[in-house]
Amino acid sequence: MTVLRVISSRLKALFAGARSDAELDEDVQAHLDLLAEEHLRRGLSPAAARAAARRDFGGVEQMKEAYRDQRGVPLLESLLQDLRHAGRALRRSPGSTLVAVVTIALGIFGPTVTFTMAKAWILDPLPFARPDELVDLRALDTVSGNRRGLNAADFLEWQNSARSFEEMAGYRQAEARWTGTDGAEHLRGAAVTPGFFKLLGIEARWGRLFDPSETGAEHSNLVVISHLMWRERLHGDPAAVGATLRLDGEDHTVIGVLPESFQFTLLGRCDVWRPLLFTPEQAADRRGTAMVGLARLRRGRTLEEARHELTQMAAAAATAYPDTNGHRGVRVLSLADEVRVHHDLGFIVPVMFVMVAFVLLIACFNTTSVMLARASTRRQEMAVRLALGASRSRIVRQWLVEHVLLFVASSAIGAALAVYGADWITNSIPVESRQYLRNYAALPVDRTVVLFALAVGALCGVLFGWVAARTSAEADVATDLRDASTRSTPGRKGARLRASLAISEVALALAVLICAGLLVRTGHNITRVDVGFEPRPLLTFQLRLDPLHYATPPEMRSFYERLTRDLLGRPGVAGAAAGSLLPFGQSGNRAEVFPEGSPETPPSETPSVFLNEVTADYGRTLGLRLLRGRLLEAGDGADAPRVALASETLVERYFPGQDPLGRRFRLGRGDDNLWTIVGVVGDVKNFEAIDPREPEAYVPFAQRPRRGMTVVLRASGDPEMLAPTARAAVAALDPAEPIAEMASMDSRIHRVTAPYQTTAAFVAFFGAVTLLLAAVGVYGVVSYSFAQRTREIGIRMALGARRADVAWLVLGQIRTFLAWAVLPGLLLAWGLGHALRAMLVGVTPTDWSMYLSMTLLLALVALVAAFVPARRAMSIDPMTALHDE
Amino acid sequence: MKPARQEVPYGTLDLIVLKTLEAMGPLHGYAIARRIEQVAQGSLALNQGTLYPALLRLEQKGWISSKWGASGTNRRARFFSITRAGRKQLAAEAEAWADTVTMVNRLLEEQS
Repeated sequence: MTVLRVISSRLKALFAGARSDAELDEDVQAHLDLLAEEHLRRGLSPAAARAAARRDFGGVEQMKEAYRDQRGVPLLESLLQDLRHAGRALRRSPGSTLVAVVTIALGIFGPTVTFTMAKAWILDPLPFARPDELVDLRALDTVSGNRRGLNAADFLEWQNSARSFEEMAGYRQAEARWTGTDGAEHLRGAAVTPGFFKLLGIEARWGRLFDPSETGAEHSNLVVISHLMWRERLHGDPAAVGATLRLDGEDHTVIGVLPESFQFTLLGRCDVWRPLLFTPEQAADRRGTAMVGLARLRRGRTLEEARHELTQMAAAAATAYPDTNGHRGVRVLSLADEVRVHHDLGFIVPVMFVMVAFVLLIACFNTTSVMLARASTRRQEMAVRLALGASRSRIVRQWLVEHVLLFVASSAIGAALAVYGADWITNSIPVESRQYLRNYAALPVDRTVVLFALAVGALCGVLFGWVAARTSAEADVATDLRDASTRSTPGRKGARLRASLAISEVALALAVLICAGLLVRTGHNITRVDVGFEPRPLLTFQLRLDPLHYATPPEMRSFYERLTRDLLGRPGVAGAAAGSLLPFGQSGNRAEVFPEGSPETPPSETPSVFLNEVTADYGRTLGLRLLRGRLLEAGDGADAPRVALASETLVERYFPGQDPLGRRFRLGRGDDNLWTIVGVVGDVKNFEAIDPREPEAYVPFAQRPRRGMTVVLRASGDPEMLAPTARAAVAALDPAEPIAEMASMDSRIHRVTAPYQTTAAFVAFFGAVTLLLAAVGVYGVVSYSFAQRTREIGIRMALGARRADVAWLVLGQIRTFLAWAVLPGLLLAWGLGHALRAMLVGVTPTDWSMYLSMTLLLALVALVAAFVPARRAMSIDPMTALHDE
Repeated sequence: MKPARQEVPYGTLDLIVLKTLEAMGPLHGYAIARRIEQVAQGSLALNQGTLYPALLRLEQKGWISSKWGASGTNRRARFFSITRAGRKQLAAEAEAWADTVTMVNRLLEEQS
């Protein structure tokens, strides 16, 4: 109780300082007057009486000091005093304060933006109920180590008997053809087992979601729609619940609308969600690879236990069904980890962190250097304060307070800048890719991020303030006071520290520059990667013909043949073709391949190829490189002999050392048709700019027709301008057929290369910042050291030194910097470059030309930065220099 | 010769001030100092200034309270008075002091 009273009374006093000071003065004055009157009465003169009163009272000032200590919170009060003092000191030299503020703000900016990315995409918990317990279940190809989808039989077996999980659901991508009032349209969607939403803990915005018990076939015509679909297509009308949507030719009843915040990034944007139900035949399927499992761990079970259990079940299945499950393992990851794996940008973040941390360090070195330079002009102030009895710890605290104030204030600016940086990153991500990123790639600079920035700032302030404080608190009072008159030698310690700061700075800058250079060159290379065809100027779009209207192969054939012929006749179209697997189109079918004469091996041991059904002009329209034989032609019709083009890798892998022309193979299990290789074409990048080479077979569309195809047009000008032409041509053939994913090949490729280009632009910016900071740092150290040596240079020149000799002094100093900085810098770059290796394209982490050019660039910048103070030193007039002292 | 004037024993100033205020009612700083010197009959050297931090300390602890009023010469001065908590504290400290004195006396007698 008493303690509380004391504390509250002291705190109150803290804010009433001036008032209670006045009250105390009044008390003391009254007391002294009374004492003096008493002495007067005893017969002393007024002056003597006042003196006697003071004697009786004792030291007034000491008493007041003790009284103030007793009254307030001394530490806090002197801290406030320190703060005021720091503010004054910073204001007194606005130039160097501004440099420091800008430097730190730029330094903090990088880590803050990077942290925003890490937080939004990696660290924040997923927006589902108890997200830590959620697990992603997939199959694993134990031969290649690649993840694969699940089949229904395995999934149902796990769902029924695995004991590690509380609940299990499955889902797969399922697009839908929606026939509305204004024609048909393709919608992105998914099929999910009825327990899916309950498992995630998601509630409907309107209506209801699937009930886990709705597993019967009679529930197959229910549909749940996304908030976006509801708002954009159904006018945000709550009455949409209960409405009927015609999907894939059947009526579906809308039972609910998902909340706006719901997003399942592994599926991207999905507008229609239908129940995934199994007919007995589907339930027995062990071939499929389209499903993914999602489960919630039973309380108390660990991921490791679950993985162990499923691995055992997979092993049992492999024994029971060697044909299908032979090389199939399980891949069990927490959902959060799976999402991280899917976020391509996630892998950039750690490396970015290291780079921006270096930039921050450089900024700190610079700032401390500036502060130290100012400190040496304040040495006399410090010495006087020490001489007057300030404790060294008080001086150290003064330094810390000054640094922390400066750093935290600048960090606030850095955090404000980070808002723009984060927006820039979001905007640099192609819209199409954003649906796979959490929150559609929005990067909010929220309270946590701001706190992070301020905390990093405060930490750097304390760290570097302490370094600076230690150097200056070691001031030797006697020498410094004497030096006040001569100002000949700067504080040796401070000078040495500043030089080593500058050297570390140059070393770090070199490492950052080299890595930035490697990434920038990667960003440049990625757009020039040989994709195996001529990507410009192409326009592409997808069609998936209505199965009701195009039921038979001749109908499909005739549609695409007429469409390509029609398109070719339209102005601006230089070529028109269609293929089932268009490069950078995000999807493709594989088919098992059996070279003629080889037996039908079990699926687990059968090689597969990407299968591309293409119209006759496909090879010419894309500009595939023909290596041997011929391309497919119009003559390879439905009734002509079955022919195929093989990719370079297919030949290398399945017909090594043989003449591939004329070789035959079967495609797909149980299909007796033999396809004869008539030509070999160069490999094409189908998914990533740095794809591993994969075998691919091209067969005539006429001989293997299908409904879903991607049409590709070679334009004679801007491909985007052909969009109306394409729409008109499709509408002329069948106005009910919707077009999906119309995009130029350039923009398709850009989706894949954008992360590299974003990274390149990001690091290029920090490379420039680094160069600037290094220049400022070198300039600061050199100009300071020359300012300190004015007298020395004056004497040298008076004794006959020429300007060139002075220039040599500068060069000597730069040379020392570089000599000490270059090797550590290169080593650092070497290490960091190797960490970057996975992100580099067309350049190795030890590219010597990059190392050399960046070293030269940095040396050049250092020279230029040193040139300004050097000129000043050279123009010193010896007489003035000596007189000034 | 007068006996040498002693400093106020450490820790007893609080007790003395509380006792003074209890006995005399509200007093200002000067009057408290005067009263203490009277009672000590010249055997105590009191730097009157040291009274003020002590008064503040007692007030912070809630044992005394202060009010502005007019001193004898019609000058504004702060008058201190003992509170209920202060009386309790005084009783406790007086008892403790008596115990200490008894203990020390016994010790001294045994030694001699």
